Amino acid sequence: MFDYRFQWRVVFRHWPELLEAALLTLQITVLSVMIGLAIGMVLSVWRKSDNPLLYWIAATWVALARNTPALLQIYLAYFGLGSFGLHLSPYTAVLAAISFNNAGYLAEILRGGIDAVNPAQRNASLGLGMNRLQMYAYVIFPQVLRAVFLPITNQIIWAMLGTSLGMIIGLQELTGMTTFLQSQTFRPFEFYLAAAIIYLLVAEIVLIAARLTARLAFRW
Amino acid sequence: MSTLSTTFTWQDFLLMLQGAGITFFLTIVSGLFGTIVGFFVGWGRCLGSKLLLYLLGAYIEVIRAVPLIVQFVLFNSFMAIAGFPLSPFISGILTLSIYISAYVAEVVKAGIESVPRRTSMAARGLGMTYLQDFFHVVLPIGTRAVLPSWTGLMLGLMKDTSLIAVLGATPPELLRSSQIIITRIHDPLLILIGAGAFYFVMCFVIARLSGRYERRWQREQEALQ
Amino acid sequence: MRCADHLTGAVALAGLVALAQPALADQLDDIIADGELKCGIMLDVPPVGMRDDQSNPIGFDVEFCKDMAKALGVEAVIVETPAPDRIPAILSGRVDIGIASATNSLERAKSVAFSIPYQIWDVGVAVAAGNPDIKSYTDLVGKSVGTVRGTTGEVAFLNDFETWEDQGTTHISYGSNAEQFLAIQQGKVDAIVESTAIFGEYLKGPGQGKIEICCDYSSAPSDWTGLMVRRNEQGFLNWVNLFVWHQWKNGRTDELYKAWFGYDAPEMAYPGVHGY
Repeated sequence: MFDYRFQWRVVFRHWPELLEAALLTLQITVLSVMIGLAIGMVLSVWRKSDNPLLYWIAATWVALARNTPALLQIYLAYFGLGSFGLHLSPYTAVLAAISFNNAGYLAEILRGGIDAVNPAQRNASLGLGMNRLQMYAYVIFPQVLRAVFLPITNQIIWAMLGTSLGMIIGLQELTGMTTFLQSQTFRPFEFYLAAAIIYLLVAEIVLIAARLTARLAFRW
Repeated sequence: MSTLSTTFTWQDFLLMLQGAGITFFLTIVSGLFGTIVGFFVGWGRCLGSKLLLYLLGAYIEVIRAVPLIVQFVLFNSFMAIAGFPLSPFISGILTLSIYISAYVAEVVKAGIESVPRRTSMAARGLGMTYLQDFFHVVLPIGTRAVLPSWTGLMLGLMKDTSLIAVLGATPPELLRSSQIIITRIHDPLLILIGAGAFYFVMCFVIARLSGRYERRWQREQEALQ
Repeated sequence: MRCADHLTGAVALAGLVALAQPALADQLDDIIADGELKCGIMLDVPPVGMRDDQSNPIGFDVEFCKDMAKALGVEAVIVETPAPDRIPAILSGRVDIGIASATNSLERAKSVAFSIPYQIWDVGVAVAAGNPDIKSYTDLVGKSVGTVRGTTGEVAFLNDFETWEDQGTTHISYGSNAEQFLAIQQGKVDAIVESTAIFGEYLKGPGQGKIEICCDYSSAPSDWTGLMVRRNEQGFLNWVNLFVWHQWKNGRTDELYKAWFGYDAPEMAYPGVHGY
């Protein structure tokens, strides 16, 4: 069937570079989800707001983040802002773009969760003398985050996959490094397979960490 | 070389328009294949076999944890070294179908789970076989529950088809046609914003249409109850 | 209906046992018998491979393919092979030959067979027009430099970057020339390192007045590129080598250099080295 000899030695020789690149992927994934979650919470609340400006900002953000390719968002963060004289490093640009994208998707996920919380609880919390911030922080979001935990983990994985697009603008993350190494060795299959396995491991690590965090935070 | 214009021409616009058409084509074909495969994978996970559960779970997990770009290259080079060279367009469609099937499988599973156990039990109690129950009760109810998620997946797929550009598949889809123009006229920003507008319009219109349809469906459902 | 929870667990990908088959037919015979030569060409690297405004493939490599097909007496078929598809396309026989300005490194030659050099490129440094700081390659110390991932310019630069990094040089590796050129125009990098032929094409068009070639990259070896065929096709490779030799000898290579790069072909001889 095969007329091809696999050469794994060359992959092991470049193991340190792959590992370093994988750590960069992991780092941006975690940071972008944390930033995205923070902004996403704000946006999801604004989408419930009576203030038309806040509503408009949130609705536009969500529509733009969800309906344009992530590659374009990364491009705009790097070159789009650059044409206005605002220069982000590839790292910052990818982090900003993926966080922007995460915030849009997470806001939509969280909104669904907020809708599912019994409205009587809102009145009850306000009636107990809480202000709106306290209500969201202590009553609404703890329930929401628990209810939509699975969709959030999906978004975390998506964020990890999205970082691979950063290679276009010069981020040497895992896919970028893999592309570089295959161009030097002409062994695409071996290197991309190694990358796939590393991605799988990174995903597992992130998901386990997310579950542990959730367990601590929500005392599951 | 004399025909090498360095400005955006009408021809370029047509190329992008054709690219948008190819994007649609890729989405529909791989969406269809992916939904069929994903349906069986999702269903298979609900059949109760531990081995099947583990294998299909691994299938889903692997596919969802590897960037699509990597999958494209991997599948393409795997077929090549296995002695079944495919054109990048065909290997791209197959990769996209496999990729989206993993996500569809999750949606199918959620849809099946959304049907209350007592509803199925009632159906079985009425003398329906497992398959009758599945096709006449579980499937219709489950489909309504997860249709919005499925639409979301297909919209995501439409944007993801752009990554086929890494294989240089011809005819070029929207992003690839943009890249071809960029290589010639060196104005990535302008062209990509144009391409982004194309994607936005396509996604936004479909999302709006399906949203309206779902709301109408929901109202009809409520009216029935 | 209830399904079990989402499974966590990685899958071990079983390695497939390779069953080597002996090569039966000679590729050269096949090409002549089939009446077509399928060339794998990168069409996003002006001026060696690109598309005109009717989307037809043009460029140095495209013409080289047509010449070869003519010499074989067969039809030329241009197959676009972006970087990650180059090798799979050759190994699987989807293309007969890779004409893709590929540097003939020893590492790469472990995977595919290279012909004798058919193009020799110079690596150069370009800066934004009017940049007063960078006058020579060594002025890149302490500056930010943009390259394209996997190119020879990048590999050559990375050698020096190892020592320069401590002296404040920064390096960004872009996905393609489009990003690289945009980056220098926007001032994201101070200089870009790339083959001068690629600069030349850009300077003729949209880069006019925006960037300038500041200095030759004399400390780097020039970039010797070969045609690629499957490693076990020695018979075909012999013919290809002879074809490339004739292209140099009969002046066709020089013609292509003038037409696409805008300067004369260099001598195909490495100083002080026997053979090519």
